Amino acid sequence: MEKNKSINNIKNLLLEQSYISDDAIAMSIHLAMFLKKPLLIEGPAGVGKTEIAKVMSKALNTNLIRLQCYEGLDANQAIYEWNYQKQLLYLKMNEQADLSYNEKEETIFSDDFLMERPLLKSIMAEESQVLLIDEIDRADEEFESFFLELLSDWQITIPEVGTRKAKSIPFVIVTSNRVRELSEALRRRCLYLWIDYPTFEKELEIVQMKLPEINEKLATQICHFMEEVRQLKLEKLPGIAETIDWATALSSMHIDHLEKEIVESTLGVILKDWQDIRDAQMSLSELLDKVGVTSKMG
Amino acid sequence: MKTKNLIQRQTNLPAHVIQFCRFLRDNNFVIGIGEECDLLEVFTHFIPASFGEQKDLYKSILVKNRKQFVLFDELYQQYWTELSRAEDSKTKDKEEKKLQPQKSADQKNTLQVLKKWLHGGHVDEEKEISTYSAFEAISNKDFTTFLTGEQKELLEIIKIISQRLANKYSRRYIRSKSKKQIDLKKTIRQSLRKDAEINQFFFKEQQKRKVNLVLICDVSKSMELYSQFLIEFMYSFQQAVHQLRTFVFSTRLVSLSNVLKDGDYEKVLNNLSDQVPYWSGGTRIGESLQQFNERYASRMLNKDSIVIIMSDGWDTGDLDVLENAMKSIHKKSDRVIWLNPLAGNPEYKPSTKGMEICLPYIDVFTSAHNLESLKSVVKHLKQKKYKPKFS
Repeated sequence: MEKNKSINNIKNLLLEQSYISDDAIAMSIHLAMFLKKPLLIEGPAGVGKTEIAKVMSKALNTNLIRLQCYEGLDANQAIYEWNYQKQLLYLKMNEQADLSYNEKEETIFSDDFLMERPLLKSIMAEESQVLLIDEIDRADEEFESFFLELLSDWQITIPEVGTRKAKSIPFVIVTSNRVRELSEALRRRCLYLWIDYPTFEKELEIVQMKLPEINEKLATQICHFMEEVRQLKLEKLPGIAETIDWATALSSMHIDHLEKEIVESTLGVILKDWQDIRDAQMSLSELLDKVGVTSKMG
Repeated sequence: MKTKNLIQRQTNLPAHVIQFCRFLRDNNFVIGIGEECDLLEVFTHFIPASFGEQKDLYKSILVKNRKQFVLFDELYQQYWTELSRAEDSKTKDKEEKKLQPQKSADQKNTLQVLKKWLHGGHVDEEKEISTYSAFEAISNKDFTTFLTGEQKELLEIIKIISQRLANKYSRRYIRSKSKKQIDLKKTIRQSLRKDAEINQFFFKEQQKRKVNLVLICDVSKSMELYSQFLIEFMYSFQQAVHQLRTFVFSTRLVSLSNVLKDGDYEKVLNNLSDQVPYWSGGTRIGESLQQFNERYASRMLNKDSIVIIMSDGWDTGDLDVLENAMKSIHKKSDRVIWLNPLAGNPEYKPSTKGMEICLPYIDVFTSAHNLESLKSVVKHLKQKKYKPKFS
C-alpha cells in the first residue's frame, strides 16, 4: 500500500522547481495523477495557478501543451483541423492520376493531412504530457462541451476518420479566474482546488526563494505591505506575481528597505488600475505605518 | 447546517465514506456515486498520515466550487464532532422533533402590506414628483391607474424589448445564405469533391447568441405609486423571457424568478406576499445590490449579461456601498439599463445623491412609468443595437 510519502514527494518535486506549495495543493495534484482526472484550479489572478502546470511539466520531465482560451475559440483551434491547402494541392497534382474518388478521399482524410491541435496532440503523444487549459472561463460555454468527451473517456471523435483513443492520458490542469461560472458537467469531471492569496510567511518564503539575493528586511517589508494592500477595497488586488515583480524591481535598484517616496513611485508595478493607484496613494501613510515604515520629513 | 440523516459511528470504511457524502449532500453538495467510488479507490491505495491530510483528501474529491471550498472545513469539523458524540451504529439516537414552522402573524401582515402596496398605496400620490398628466391619452396614463386589460399591450412591448436585448453577435461563425462573407474552408472542402475546382462559394455570418437578462426592481415605499405597473412589468417580463432572473429589494434582496414564472397572475400575487416580507419598506439600494453581487453575480453576470434596474434612486443606505456595488455590476455585465419612473417628468433631474453616484455606471438611463415611456425604451434600444466589438 502506498504511504503518504507521495504527498511529500510532490511537495519536494514542486520545491525543486522553486514552487512553494502546501498540503492542499500537493494532495490535489497527487489525487489528480492517481485518479487520472483533470485538476480544476480557481483563484484570483496571479496566485500561481498556471505556474503549477509549468512546474509539473518540468518536474515530470515532459512537454507542456498549452491551450490559451478566449471567446470564440472553436474545435478547429482546440482539437484538430484538416490542412485544406495541402489537400487542394494533392488533388491538383493528382488530377491526371488514375485514382478513384474513394481512394482520393481516403488519402486526403488521413493523418498526413490532419493538423493536431492541443487537445488531440496531448492524447496522441506516446508518453503522458501535461495539458494546460488556461483561463477556460474566457472561452464561451459551447466550448466546454468539446472537453467533455475528452475528459471523461480520453478519446476524440473525428467524423471523417472515426474515434481516436488516447495513446497516453495527459495530466490535465484547467485554470479559471471565475470571470463566469463553469458548467456543472465540467466541474463534476474534475478535482477542484482553490488557491487564495498566500499568507505572509508563505509569500516571504516565495520571495526569498525566487530572489535569494534580496535583503531580508526589504523582503519582509514588501510582504507585509502586500498583505496590507490586499485589505484595501481595490478593483484588482495584486497577486504573488506582482510581489515578485516589485521585489525584483526594488532589489535591482539596490534598495534595502522601503521608503514612502520609493513606494509611491513604484506603485505601478503592483497595481494595474488608475483608480487603485489613487486609492492606495490616499492611504499610503496609513499602510506604511502598519508595515513599520516611517517617511522621511523635509 | 443540516443533518437530515443521523450521523452514526460506522465500523467499515465504505459505510463511513457514504455517510459523510450523505451528510454533505444534506448541505447542498452535489456528490454522485462517481465521487464515492473515487474516494474508496483512493483509500485502498493511500493512508492519510494525519487528520489534516484526510480532510484535504476528502476536500479535493468532493468539493466542486469555491462556495463549497470555503464551507467544507466547517462541515468537516462538525461531522467529526457529531461522530465523536454518536453512539454505535446499532443504537438509534432519539430523533429530534422538528418544530413545524408556524405561519406567523408576520406573514399575514405581509399579505396585507402587499395588498395595500398594490391597491391602496395612492395616499401620497400628490406628494410624488412624477409624472405625466392623468388626462392624457391611454398611452400616457400613469401605471398607478393601469388597467388589467392593457396588460396585453404591455406584454407586447416587453416582448419587443426583450427581442431587442436578447441577442448579441458572437465571435463564432455559422453558415449563411446571405452573401456577406465567404466561408473559405467550406468552399475548399466542397471543391475537393469536384477535383479541386471551385465552382460554388459558401458563405458564413456571425452567430447571434442569447443574452442573460437580470431584472432588479425596487419595491420600497417611494415606489408605491408605481406598484401596479411594477408587478405587471415584472410578471410580463418573466413571461416573455423565461430565462430572465428577477429580483426585488427594499432593504434586502429577494429572488422572484420562480414565483413569477407561474402562468396564473392571481396565484403569483398570492405567492409574492409569502416571498417578500417587506413591501413598501425602506430603501437600501446599495446593500441590496451588494447582496446581489455576493450571492448571484458570479453565476449570472458575464459579458453577455444585461442588468435592468428599476428604481427611483432614493437611497437611505451607505453611498459608498452603492457606488461599489454599481461599479462591480457595470464591470461584470455588458450593459446596465436603469429605468426610473420619476424620469417621466420633463423637469426631473437625477440630482439625488444616490442617483448621481450611480450615473457613471449606467449605460442607458430612461423613464418607465407608462406604455409611452416603455415604447421610447424600445426606440432607444433600437438605436443602440449591438454590433460586434471587433472588426
